[in-house]
Amino acid sequence: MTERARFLLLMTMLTVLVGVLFVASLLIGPAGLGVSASLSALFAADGDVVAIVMQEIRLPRAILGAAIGATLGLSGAAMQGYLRNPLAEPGLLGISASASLGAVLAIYTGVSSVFSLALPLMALGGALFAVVVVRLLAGQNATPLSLILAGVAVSSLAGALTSLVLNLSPNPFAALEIVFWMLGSLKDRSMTHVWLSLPFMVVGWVMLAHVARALDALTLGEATAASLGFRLNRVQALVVLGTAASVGAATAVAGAIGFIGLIVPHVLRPLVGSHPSRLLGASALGGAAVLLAADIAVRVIAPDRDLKLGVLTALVGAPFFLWLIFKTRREMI
Amino acid sequence: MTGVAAPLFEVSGLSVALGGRDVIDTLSYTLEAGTVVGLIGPNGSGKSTLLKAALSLLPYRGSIRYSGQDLAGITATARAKCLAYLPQDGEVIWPIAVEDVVMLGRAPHRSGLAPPSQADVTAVESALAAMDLMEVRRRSARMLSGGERSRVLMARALAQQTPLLLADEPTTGLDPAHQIALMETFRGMARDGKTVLASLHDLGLAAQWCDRLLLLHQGRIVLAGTAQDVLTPKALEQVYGVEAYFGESRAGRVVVPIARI
Repeated sequence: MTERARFLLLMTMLTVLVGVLFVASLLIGPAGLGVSASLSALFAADGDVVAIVMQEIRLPRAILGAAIGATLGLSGAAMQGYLRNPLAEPGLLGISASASLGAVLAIYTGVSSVFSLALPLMALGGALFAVVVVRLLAGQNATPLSLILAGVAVSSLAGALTSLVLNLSPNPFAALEIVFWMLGSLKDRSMTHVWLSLPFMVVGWVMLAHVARALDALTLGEATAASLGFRLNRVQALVVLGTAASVGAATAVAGAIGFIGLIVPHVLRPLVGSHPSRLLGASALGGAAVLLAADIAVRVIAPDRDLKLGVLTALVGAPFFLWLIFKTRREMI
Repeated sequence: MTGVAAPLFEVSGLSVALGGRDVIDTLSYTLEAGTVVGLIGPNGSGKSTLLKAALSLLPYRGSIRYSGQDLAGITATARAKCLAYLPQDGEVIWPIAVEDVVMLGRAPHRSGLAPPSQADVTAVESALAAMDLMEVRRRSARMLSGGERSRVLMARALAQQTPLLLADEPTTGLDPAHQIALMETFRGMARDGKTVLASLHDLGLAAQWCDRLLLLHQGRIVLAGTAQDVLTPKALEQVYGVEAYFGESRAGRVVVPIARI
């Protein structure tokens, strides 16, 4: 089998996996609805209870799970490809930390309890602010290193400000709400959240997809990539803005969900012959599958305790990452 | 044919400032089609900077023309169809297969993520064959020896199929047989009407294989011409600070630096 055929097979398998998990996500929940009843209720026009549960609760949750997972996988792969570093991840630019800060401010000031969309909107504002600051800090002709440093600076500042908000929170309940939000979750999200975040994510995906060939060329270093006709300023702008739009929107509706953007590209890289361009699509599908699976898992493991998604991905992700490092080290020797 | 054709590559009044200092100082030269030109000069004389500026990888003052057309006025992709570049310390970050690295050289000729055309495949095959890489084509480019990797990167530049190749110390890290094989490749390219500008530290290789030499010193070309004109005892003494042994062999002039002065 040629490499291209193997890649197409992998993409097909991942697509089927995402489809299966998407349907499973629709079918699993505390309401305990039957399979055929739930699926037909998805398309029902009348507003009975089952239709409301399916259309207003489970469908947005499944769509967001797939879209946010795809965002994390894709942006992780793009960041690793652009920075040519397997340890890069979507949070590196400070986008998710700043989006979190925006959301936390919305909770802290009480705006979010008056107007519920204030939270994702302020989080998007935080992401926008971060991308402007990172671009300014790193400069127009930024090297990847200055971009990373600017991202670290923005990330630390947003983290510190978030801590400050927690520190100053008027009562323990507000603090708890903030902490719980930051753990990441897809619970109780509505179609409004989908309509608010999905356009940004799609725009981000398109931007990141545009750098695919440039990422392949960057395998040979920046000078060679530039000599092959790729404009590196444009590539960097697309990577930064694409990550900001998609990850900012993802964080705005689901909170910070770690490790998917780091691990999914890692696991899939050997399966796509290490081509950064092929890794983009594969990681998007892989990320969607992992986040859908994780979101099903939190509902199955602890249906009553509202286990947070970010907690689960980190709990599973961190040991897995250690194993991955161990494996790579052994292969290097 | 009427009139005088413009030279293939013409650099005039080129200056490049790095860290506030002119590393290349109002320098001019032309390259004729079908020649191998050696760029020689001591460390820090500006060889790499000159090559990078010629590719617009560094900001420069002055003009760089390809077939009479100012390179500043054409798109990056159009430039990549004219000039290929082989950097000094070539790297392969991800463990991708040798043949896929070589295929990256086809980037300016391809669009989107469509499968490679027949022309792309042919170019890659002949580049792999020219660089003696057929046996390792499926191997990861990171798992090769230094010399093999240099050949992979050279094959990548060959696959770009440009009329002009700018190579930065392409023979560094190669054993003598592969050094000679590479210079033979350059000669073959020149026979096909292509032009190679290669920076070289090995004066012996420069003397034997290049049609012309450009001797660079402190950002200026101090001598240009045939090996006979450029590699003189006086020039080597003044520019490199070395004394050299000059001899004749059946392959031509032999230059071996033997002592510092």
